[in-house]
Amino acid sequence: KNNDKEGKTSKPGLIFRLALEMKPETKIWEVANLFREELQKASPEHGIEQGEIVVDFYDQGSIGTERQLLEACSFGVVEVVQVNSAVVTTIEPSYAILNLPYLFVDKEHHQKVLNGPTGKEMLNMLSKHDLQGLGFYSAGFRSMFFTYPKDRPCASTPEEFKGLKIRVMESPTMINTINAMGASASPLPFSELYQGIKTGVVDGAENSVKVFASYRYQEAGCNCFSLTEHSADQHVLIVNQKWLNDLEPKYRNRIKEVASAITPKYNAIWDATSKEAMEYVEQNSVRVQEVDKTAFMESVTPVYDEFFEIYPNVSRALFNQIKND
Amino acid sequence: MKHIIDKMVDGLLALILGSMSLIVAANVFFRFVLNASLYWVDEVAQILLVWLTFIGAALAIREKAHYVLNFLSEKLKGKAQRPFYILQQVLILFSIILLLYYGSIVVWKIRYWVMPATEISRMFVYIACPLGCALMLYYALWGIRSEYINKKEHQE
Amino acid sequence: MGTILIITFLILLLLDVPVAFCMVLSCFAALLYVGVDPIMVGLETTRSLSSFYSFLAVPFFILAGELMNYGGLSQRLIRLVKALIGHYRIGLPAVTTVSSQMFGAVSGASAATCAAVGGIMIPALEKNGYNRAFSTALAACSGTTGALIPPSILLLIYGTLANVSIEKLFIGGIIPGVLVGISIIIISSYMTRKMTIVKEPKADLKEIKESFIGALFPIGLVVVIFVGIMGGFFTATEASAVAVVYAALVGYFAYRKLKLKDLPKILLSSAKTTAALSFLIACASLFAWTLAIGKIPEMITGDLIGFCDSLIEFSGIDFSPDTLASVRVFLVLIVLNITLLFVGMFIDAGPGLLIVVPVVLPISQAIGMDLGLDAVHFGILVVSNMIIGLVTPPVGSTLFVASAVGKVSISKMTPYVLKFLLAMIIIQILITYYAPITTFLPSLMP
Ligand code: NA
Ligand code: NA
Repeated sequence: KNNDKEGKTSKPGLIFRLALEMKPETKIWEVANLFREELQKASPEHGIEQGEIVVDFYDQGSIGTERQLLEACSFGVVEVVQVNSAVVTTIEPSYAILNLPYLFVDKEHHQKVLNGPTGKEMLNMLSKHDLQGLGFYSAGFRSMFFTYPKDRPCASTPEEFKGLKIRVMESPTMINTINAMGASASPLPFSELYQGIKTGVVDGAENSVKVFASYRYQEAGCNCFSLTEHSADQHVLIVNQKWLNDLEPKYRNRIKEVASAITPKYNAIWDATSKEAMEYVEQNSVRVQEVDKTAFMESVTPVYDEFFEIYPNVSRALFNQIKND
Repeated sequence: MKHIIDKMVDGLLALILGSMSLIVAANVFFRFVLNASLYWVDEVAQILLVWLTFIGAALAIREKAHYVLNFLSEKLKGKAQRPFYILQQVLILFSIILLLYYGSIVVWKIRYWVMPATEISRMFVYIACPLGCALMLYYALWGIRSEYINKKEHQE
Repeated sequence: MGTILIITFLILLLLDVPVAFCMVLSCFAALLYVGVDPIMVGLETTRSLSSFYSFLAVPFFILAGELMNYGGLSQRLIRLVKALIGHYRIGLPAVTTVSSQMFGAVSGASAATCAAVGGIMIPALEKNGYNRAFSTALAACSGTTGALIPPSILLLIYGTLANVSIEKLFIGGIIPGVLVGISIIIISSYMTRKMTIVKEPKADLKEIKESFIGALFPIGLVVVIFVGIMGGFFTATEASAVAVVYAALVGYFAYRKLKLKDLPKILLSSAKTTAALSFLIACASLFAWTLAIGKIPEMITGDLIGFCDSLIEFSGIDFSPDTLASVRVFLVLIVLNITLLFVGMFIDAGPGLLIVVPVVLPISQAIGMDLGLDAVHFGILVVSNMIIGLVTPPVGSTLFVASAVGKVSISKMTPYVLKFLLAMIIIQILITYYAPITTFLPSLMP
């Protein structure tokens, strides 16, 4: 009602809630932020005025963790959420494929799968939970970081990783991956990780360079960052399906359009951030170690078979489709 | 009937708390002595905590152990307490029924979702809520009944 | 919506409806009002329990405390403590405070600390003539002091949410934690001057030696926990489970006081204490969620800064730009502290921080306390304020645990708690306005 004074439209045509767990510094936050900013702008081709769409924005996990947001979205309490694709695994096991080690050859391959027909297919898989994926957004590749003797070059082969206790998420596939790469996987809640590295419960963990820089793991004692780039991370925008289908067509089309239109803008922000984080890591006397990935790619092949044993319902066809993309 | 339910609630709670502490302690042993930790322990312990909470909440109704401010009961004496006692009980029953109703819907809606580590259906976590609430309802009604009988005996 | 939530909650509270149910009902009313599906009542209460990993330590330390009592470990520890300082007038209260700080330093959780130390010390205090309500209030308030001393779960939560160096927060928490402890001992000596205290006869060397040898196992427990955590063998939560097993084994095999047939009874009484508390935390999470969906925290930030600016304007004094800035900081911190104290009355520190941190971060930016050591100072003053809330009625988890462990009603404890609160608030003012208390130790770090 107050919008009159601000010179916007007299009454918003569409109000909905958009929630995520991330905070602005993570930069992955920008996905939801760009989505909201873009939607609130005027869109003459759809006949939407500025301020006609109002987004109630809940970030920093203020109304729940990613797993909780996904539930809330499925229940229709929150209309749109942004979550890590790994969280979706608990309702749609096919999403676990995306976290398989060395599934994506490089950044370009990752982008091609996420934004191509395979990605689209995966976004549509959520309908039996009353959900619909709007788009995938890359959060970079995960590498290993750990505390290592100062007088030795950082571990960079499966043999050298022997005996290193690396924290992983509590998922069988991630455990198998890290073990196959030579290290020994230690499942630990993320909340216990910083203290765990400091006290030596684990020697290190695996994540993107951006996460390393944000949580300042060098202060907990990590002095090596080995660029294994073993698995990819991606976030996904998800909407309650019934809500989306009941919308006026102009709003529905606009929402779908914006979800893909923000991808290049977001990717530019993410690339700049990763570069900055890498510089920060180097400045803080963490040794960044290049690795020869072929040895790791060979050592993780059994993980694929184990994966399809754990998830008998996930189709190998999807896996092959991604590999061939 | 009440006797059997009491025994079941008591036994279940002792079992839950005992096994919770054992598996978490065992996990330390596994990592410390065998250098391998069990990935499902934290999750199972947290599921057990949910059960402990809701079944335990029923016990707390039975034993009148839920935290109360005790603002009114200290100000009012004798007969003046009666209408407020009835109001309190109605409000308590209403909130238990709310939890029971919405808890049941959640269980139904979430039946296909699984826990990340153990891969068991999340239904088995969330069902603790309606189950505990049913027990709470039983104990709350039973408490009102025995209060009523007490009052009657006093008057006679 | 915020008004509906708070008003309904307060009315129900005054009608003596149990606190947990007050929260369920007021949230239900508020959610209906803003048109959010009230299914959240069933969802949030259940799922919140599985997201506070550290909370698992609470039932375990409560159980370990019960086992130590049954197994004869506590009695031997008390005998040693008495032999050492029992003959001083302030001996036992001081021991309660100091052991809470040591125990809280290890466990990191206030409610658990209070359960473990209170379970041992409250009976001992009462036996020596300290009033039971006083003893329980003492256990509650000293239980909170360990929460600032590292490792601290609450500082960890803050550092994670606010992206402030957890290491520096930890180091910065030491002096404030110790200060609160000292102030509690001083207040205790003042409060107990009219009580008839049985002073223990001064123990001879033989008694000290014997009680020390007798207490080797319980001392071993403290050592196992401390070395286990500091040495990286296990987390605080795991340490609490180890404490359970350790206490059970010692009580059963070494002291032979613990009987297998007592086990169900011990488990049951611990389960009851835990359940009432964790059910309340579940409902408090629903309350916090309802506040958040109503965007109440964001409104508070704006109002708070605006209120301070209008106060300055109203005073009509023309400050020079520099003075104006510091007057503004001064005012905002007063209002912030009062607001947090009020919030802490109703929401527990754990779920409370989740709500408060997003609210106060913009405030720290607005007053220029968001970088470097200033950020550490700001973080500690927020967390230590929320810690006070753990013992303020109507909702304080440590207060509730103490009341359950000491079997004393909250209203009987309240007069004593209020005096301790006064001391804690004075320290809070010092922490707020004398930065070196929090920043001196971290400033020595590289
Ligand atoms: Na601590
Ligand atoms: Na409080």
